[in-house]
Amino acid sequence: MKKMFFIALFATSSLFAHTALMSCFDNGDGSVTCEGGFSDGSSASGINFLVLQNGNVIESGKMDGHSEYTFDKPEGDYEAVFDAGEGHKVIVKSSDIAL
Amino acid sequence: MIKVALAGQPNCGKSTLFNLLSGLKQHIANYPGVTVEKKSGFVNFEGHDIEIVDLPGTYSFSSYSLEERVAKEFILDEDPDIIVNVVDASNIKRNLYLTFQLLEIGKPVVVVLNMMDVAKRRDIEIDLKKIKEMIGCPVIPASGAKKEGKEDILRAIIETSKASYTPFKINYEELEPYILEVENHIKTKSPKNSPRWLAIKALEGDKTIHEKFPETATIAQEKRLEFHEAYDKDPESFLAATRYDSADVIYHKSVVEKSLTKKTLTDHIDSIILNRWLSFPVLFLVVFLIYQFAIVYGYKVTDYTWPLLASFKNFIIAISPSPDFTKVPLITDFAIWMVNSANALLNYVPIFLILFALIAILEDVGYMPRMAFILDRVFKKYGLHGQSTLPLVLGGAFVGGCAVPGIMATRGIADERARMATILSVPYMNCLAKVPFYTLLLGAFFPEQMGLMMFFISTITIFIALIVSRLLTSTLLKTKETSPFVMELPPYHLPTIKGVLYRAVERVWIYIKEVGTIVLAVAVVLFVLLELPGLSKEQEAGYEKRSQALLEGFYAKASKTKYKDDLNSKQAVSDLINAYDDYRAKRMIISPEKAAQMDEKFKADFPKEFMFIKPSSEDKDAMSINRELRKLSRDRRSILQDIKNDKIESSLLGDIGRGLEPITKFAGFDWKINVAFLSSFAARESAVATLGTLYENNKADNMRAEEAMSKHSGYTPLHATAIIIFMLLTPPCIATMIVVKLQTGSYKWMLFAIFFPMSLGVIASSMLFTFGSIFSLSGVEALAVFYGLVVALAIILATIPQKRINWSGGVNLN
Repeated sequence: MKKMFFIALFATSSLFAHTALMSCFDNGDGSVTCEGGFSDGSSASGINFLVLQNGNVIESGKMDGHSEYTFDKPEGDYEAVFDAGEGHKVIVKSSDIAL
Repeated sequence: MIKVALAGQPNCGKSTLFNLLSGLKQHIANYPGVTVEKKSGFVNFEGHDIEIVDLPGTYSFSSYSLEERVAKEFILDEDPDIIVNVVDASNIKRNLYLTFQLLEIGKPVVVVLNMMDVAKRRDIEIDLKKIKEMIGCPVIPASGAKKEGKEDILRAIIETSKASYTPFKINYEELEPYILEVENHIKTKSPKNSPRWLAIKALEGDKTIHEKFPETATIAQEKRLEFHEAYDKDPESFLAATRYDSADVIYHKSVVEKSLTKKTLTDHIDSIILNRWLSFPVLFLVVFLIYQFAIVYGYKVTDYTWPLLASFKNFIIAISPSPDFTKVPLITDFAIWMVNSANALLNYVPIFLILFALIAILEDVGYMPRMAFILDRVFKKYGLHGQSTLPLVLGGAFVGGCAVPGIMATRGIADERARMATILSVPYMNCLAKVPFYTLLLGAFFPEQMGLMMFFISTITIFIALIVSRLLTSTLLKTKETSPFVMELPPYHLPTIKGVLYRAVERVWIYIKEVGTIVLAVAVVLFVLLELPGLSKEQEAGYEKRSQALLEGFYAKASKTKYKDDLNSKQAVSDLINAYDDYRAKRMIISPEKAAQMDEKFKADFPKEFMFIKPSSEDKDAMSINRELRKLSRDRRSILQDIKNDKIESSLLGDIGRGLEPITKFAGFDWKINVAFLSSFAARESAVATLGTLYENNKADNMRAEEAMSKHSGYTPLHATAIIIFMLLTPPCIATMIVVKLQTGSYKWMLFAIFFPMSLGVIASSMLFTFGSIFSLSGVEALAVFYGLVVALAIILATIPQKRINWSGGVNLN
């Protein structure tokens, strides 16, 4: 029984049926907009969003009603993180966010 | 053309041999009226055309399983010239029982001793010549796995077809006069078949024969009674005993098993796997590994396969008429809706491919029958069968699966009652597509206790299935035929890649074909129900005004730039915004490395628009257009969303949802939930999308659909628990129901499979909601109580013996 419990507990941790997606654009006015979403078309509004620089969180918030998040472009390298839970993280590096 | 029927017991390697004999020229169809597959192959050997039909594997020829019925009907109706009996040489004793039944049919038989290599390895010596002399037919050694024996078998078939044939006859001693009487009666009825065989079958009480020859059936019934009165024996057991004795004689005269006392590798492995204490831990380990590979890694694979589906969707959007700002053509809406429905289904393909391949490996290795053996003890108590294991596992016991292949897999169950019970209980298993729905509700109402709630949800299903099966087998299914658990534990062997892939692909194909067609059909109906009657005149005018205002705003900003002449018409702005949205959608699924390449392509395809989609930083005017474009795109999406909400609210489906409110209010469901449930019946995934749409917040506040739902709907966690319980009990989708119809062969059972779980769901969730409210339980407490009750009920049912002990008395020594 105990073993079954662990299996079942494990079975629960990452059962999403969709894949997380995110793309980011440099708006050219010193801001960057990231748009999140899921492969099944469900909205990403309210999903946690982070900007990391050297491992530190420099900005965090939630995707808005249009599944978007706009932030001021930091100096240097950074990473935009779409965090929809375990197994559903998308990381976009600043080098991949072109104008 | 020589027509050959290939017959043999399950696990004798018949399919491998069939593939070896017929090569690539195969034709696969169903036997008339049933889902049992009929495979035929065509070969030309030494100038002779041979058609080989693979009969379903059967242990005997005298019970009423679907397979046996089909095999018998084939012989009755299609009159094969020769029967090739495939015998597992390593398990010859039991296989010979079927051989005698086949010999009796009155057609020339060629016996193929398959798996000779295995027999040799196990030191089984078989005197082929002796067997040949004793049963009077060619006996050919072969090994399907090693591709040995093909030519010998084909040659024997041709020789047999030319040779003269004296009908084979077992002397049934005291039954003989009765056989003769029935034989005389049936003689004229079916000139194609041996009257003696038909007579024996009729006396055996064979339903297939009785249905075909009703007059003879009456006489045979009389004779059966007479025989019973004269000898105090039933003809069927008398016949069976005679055949077993005959098989035994052959075995003892021609087979020497030197290794009977020596332990084989299989015995060693079985001493662990079937060990009293270890069998269940091993079983759980296997289930856990399947879960890891199929579900956890399977989802990872979908990260790579998803872009394919997404580009398919983008392609469909590209070839559909593009929207005129906020006016989306109906055909485009429809195309996107259909692609979404198809994609939701296809996204599971990698998961199912892995899952089914692993299950095929377990079958090939020989673990599946052992799993059935281990679980039979438990399942029996609930009216199920060891063979119910595979359907339940495919359907999603513990790890999630799909009921469609699960129900398809029930056709191997010989016990009719257990087969029906399995068909009707598989839909309660964890349908993978239900999971996103649970996650949505749990995320909204139980973010803290998500793990615990998921544990309840994923383990309760098997208990519910067991209870339902027990209830049905002791009531509605009580009178169905049962048969004892005869399952052989074949020696372990290594699976072949080809065999595993073939079966995995075959099952996935069933899933795509069966589920796909139905999901698409239902999607069409739902689309119509959601689309009609559409927006009212006033609403339309309102939206027109809103979008006009947006456009005016855009023109005003654009007029301040040097591009004012390019962007002053609705057409131009529409084109621009469509190109912009298209770009963003495509960008979403492309890897960063390929982004530059994609930009080039867009530049070529949309020379005028691209400068605004991705403006250069030098061009300040283009930059400001880009800013406005982003805003416009967002505002347009808001309008489209509002239109969608208004449409659903006034749609026919919305009306139906509202119409159901008086009933569902006891479970706490309002019309929005009802609409979600109704639309989710096409494919479970759409429940999430529909709910998301219904609860989507118009204002751009930072809320996810689930948050919006928990804040704005006025729902409590207890509501959510009631919804979850209803969801657990309701059948997964229409496709499942169609498969129920196929496997039970009756619409009545299909309707039962729809309405029984639904009523159960409404009752359970209403009771839970009502009592939960009275005792002011939280959602988690309510589910825990429900879980406890279900588990307790399952355990109590197991302790009540299914068959009543209806005798008493004995020696009383006190």
